Amino acid sequence: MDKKTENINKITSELENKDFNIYYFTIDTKGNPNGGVANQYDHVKMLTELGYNAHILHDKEKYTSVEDWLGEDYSNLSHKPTKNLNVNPSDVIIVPEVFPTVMEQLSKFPCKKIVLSQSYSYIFELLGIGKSWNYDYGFDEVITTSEKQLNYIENHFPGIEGSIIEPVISDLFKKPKGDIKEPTVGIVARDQSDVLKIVKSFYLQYPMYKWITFKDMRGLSKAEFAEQTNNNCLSIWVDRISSFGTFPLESMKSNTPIIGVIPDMIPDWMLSNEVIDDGLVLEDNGIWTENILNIPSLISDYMKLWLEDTLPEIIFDKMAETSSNYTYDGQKNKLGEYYQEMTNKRIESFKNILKDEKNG
Amino acid sequence: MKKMDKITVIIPVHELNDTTQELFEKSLISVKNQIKKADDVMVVIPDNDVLAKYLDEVSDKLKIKLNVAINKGESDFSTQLNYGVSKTETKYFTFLEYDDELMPMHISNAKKYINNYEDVSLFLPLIVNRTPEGKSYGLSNEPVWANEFSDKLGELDTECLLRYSDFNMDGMIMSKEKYIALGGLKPSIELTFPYEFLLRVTHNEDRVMVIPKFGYIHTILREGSIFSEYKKTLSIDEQRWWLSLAKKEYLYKEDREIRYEK
Repeated sequence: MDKKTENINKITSELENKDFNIYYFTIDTKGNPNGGVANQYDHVKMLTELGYNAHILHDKEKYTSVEDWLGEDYSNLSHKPTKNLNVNPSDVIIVPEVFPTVMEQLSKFPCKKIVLSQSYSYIFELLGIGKSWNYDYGFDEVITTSEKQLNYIENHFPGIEGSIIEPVISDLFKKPKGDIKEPTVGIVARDQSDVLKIVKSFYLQYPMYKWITFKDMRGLSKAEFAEQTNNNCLSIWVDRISSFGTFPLESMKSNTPIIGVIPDMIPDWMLSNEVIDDGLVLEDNGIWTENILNIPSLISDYMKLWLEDTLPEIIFDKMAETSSNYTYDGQKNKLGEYYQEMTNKRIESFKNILKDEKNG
Repeated sequence: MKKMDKITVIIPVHELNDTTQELFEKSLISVKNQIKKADDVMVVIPDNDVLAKYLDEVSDKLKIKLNVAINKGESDFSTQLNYGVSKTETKYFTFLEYDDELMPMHISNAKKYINNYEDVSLFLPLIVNRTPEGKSYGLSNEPVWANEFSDKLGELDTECLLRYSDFNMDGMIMSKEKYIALGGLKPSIELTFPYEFLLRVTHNEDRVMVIPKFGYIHTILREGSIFSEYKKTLSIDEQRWWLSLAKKEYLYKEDREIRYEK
């Protein structure tokens, strides 16, 4: 048997037996919670449970543990440094959209290369003008988190193969005991100055509510964040460049209604199937506005209804319906199906090479 | 699911005229309109046949069953309430001033919180204050929900009560057993008897929580009401004196003879 056939047989065997590695290139957040990184860890955890050799790949020898903010279940997953890494042709490397320099470094690697695009707004931050993930770096597939983001990517990288796997909304987010909430408001904003704007404006315009506490949700571990969200009576979300909207979904799962600014790329879950006069209709799963300046008055209106216990039930029904779509088991199945299909295609592709060789 | 404990609404009344009858009927309607019904509605009155007859009529008129408790002793508010609690047959009680109203979810929230906070001895509602003309006049009891106002968010403690006395026990929810064990209200303390009681509860290391929901509508300084009379008849010095007295008397469970002297 010639060397090429031997190598290809070895690769297909590794693929068939799940004897290949899947590496998720991950930045070191130095102990700071980060939604995108959390999602990568979820992928590695799910794949490990599905019997794959999945690893967090990091470029620093000394990588800060995620135990403090994600917990032991995640810090105990396999971690590998890039230094002296041996990558086989059967292996898979996944690189976030924000690292085109890493993609370029890996472009000659003889393995399967996939982009994980969680935030469309980062795609062009470091990507050279005219450069393309697939044509220049060999990243011919992308995993992303929504239809809209996939369309956006396909428009810019024609020929790339895309799949949608949404993040998991953890079971840590749930109704508190007795579904009793506190009059506290959790606020998450990409730009911290928006937080100050909203809170200060609210207290000045509505001094009868100056006793309502706003909770800054930054820097909390996943468990602390979930507990606080579960207990809050309201969540506020301002992130115009959000691609998916994890926090609103977490809030919905906690049975905590959300007031939010509609992002530039409207999340799939925010849109109803209804269309009125060619216009999009938003779901009643939250209180949505295009203008951040409306938020203080929306908070005031909401708090009055909450304090009186007269909030409309439809919001809670819709919240439960929306957030039920992103369970750990559901997304694990999706991820498993994706990797199985991708692996099968690769096996077929390698076998076709041999077939073609044989047929001359 | 745990069985919900029962609650009596106690309404102390010492006399009613045409104006106050109208207010009293609004009070009763607010009790009737509770989303979760009270298990008993007790009106405590002095030994007064006219009042008893009126209550029969109003019970028929509004179709609300009233349990009338006749207190043959003193008819001050504290004595009336203490008497009402002693006659209560349910585990818990709440009270309503006859010229105030309960918000529709008051009993429902009371039961929910009792069920979920078994270690809390006394619950206070958020009170919506209004003038006799119906104008909004702010809230009461809300400060404990402000960040770092008290040691534990949502709960009163002695330290914060000693700093800030403006809490209102109208609509409070408590177990009969605990209320009696703590000694109830002290009839000898004028003006600041609710404040003294709250201090006594927290001093006993019992937890006091404010339910963060509008539970009670309080009409402030209605002409003829007990506190409007106090404000009219008591000098500033005397008002201060009662406040200072409350801060000493809470250390003792038993009431004693007290008289203000300049």
